[in-house]
Amino acid sequence: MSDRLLDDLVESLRCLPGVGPKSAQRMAFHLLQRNRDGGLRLAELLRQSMERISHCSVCRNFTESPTCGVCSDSTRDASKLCVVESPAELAAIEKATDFRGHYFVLHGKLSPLDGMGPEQLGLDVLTHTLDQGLAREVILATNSTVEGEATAHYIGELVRSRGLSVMRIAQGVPLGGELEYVDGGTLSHAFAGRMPV
Amino acid sequence: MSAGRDNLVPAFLLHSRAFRDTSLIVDLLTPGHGRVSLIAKGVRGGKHSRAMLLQPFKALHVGWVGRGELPVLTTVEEARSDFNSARLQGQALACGYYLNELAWRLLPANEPAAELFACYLPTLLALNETSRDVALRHYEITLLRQIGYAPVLEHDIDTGAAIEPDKRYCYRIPDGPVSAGEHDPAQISGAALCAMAELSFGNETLLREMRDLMRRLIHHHLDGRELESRKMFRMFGNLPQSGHG
Ligand SMILES: [Zn+2]
Repeated sequence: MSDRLLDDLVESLRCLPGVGPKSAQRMAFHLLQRNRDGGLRLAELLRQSMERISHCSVCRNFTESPTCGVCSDSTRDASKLCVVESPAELAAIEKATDFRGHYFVLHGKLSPLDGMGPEQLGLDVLTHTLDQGLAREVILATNSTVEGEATAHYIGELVRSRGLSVMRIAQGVPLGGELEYVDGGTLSHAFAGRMPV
Repeated sequence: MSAGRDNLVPAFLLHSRAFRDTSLIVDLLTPGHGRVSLIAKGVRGGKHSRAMLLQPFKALHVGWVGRGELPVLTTVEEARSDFNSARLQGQALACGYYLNELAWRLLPANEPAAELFACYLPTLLALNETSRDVALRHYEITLLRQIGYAPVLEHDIDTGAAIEPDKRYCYRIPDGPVSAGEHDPAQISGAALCAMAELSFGNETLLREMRDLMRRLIHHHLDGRELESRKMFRMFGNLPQSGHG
């Protein structure tokens, strides 16, 4: 009964990806033995983050403000809008390329048998953004899987019907490859070699 | 149950979902084992060649080991095929997902489905053609026959009399056709039933009658669950026209 708290801590740490029972126990012991300050700080930041970070009302990326840093940065080029599947892919593009336009984060892709449709991807928010009239060029940077391509095709049609130009990142990325894991050089190359579709 | 130690098994991926941190649970359509659920270990998160192969509509050869709940995928290779899944876009792609969803939901696991497997690739190939509706009806009938619910199309189930092309019938779901009274709803022509029995689909009107009947039958076998792929089909149909084709 007296070790209930420790057991719960180990069990809770397992909600992190890649953390099994052994590593969870190691983490718990490490924090208790060597880094209680770090543990307290982590606990406090986790609590604040889970409560305060939500989606940017314009691009749906994670942010603690109503509008994220990218969307409210007036030095960025709002005429270019890059659509990505996940925040991790946005980060990969920011790091590997010189793209300094705006983004839209889908938090997924069309996944017909799993009920992921336009609504789940926030495409109503995207069409609202497009109808504001700032974007002139939309770059579709979804993955080159069957579902990523279907997503690109669908959004491409939405964009085209508004008379805007649609680009697809070059397919240097192999089928099934996830952008997040593609090395910076390849990603930069794929981005620079984007083609109208 | 192991397969493909010596000879790999032909397969198409019906559905996959994330499992734990780096694995996938894949449902495959195979001729000898019908629908097979396997765990593909360590294929997510990175440039794993197996993850790139485990895509829908790709002709594969696979091998697996293990019994029980979740056998383990050991080998996956791309099969030589004339079909390129990139050709499927929009509503044709939604139809491809429809084939997968039907087999995924209706095929029992680990029971041979050679007839349906043989029908799968030709149906995929027809999805961009004008013969798409015919191919879809053929696939649906083959699937129902494969799971032991072949629709009765040749005789009146009350009287046993042969179906007459110029009479009207009511199809009692799921049993079969009976001759229709004047005010019975959801009637189907004898001509449509005969055409479906022979898999020869003459004109638009007959095709529509057959589509409606198959939809009711499949709805019944799905216990009324709505198909997600049908939502996708409607979604692509509702896209605004861009004027670029
Ligand atoms: Zn934003």
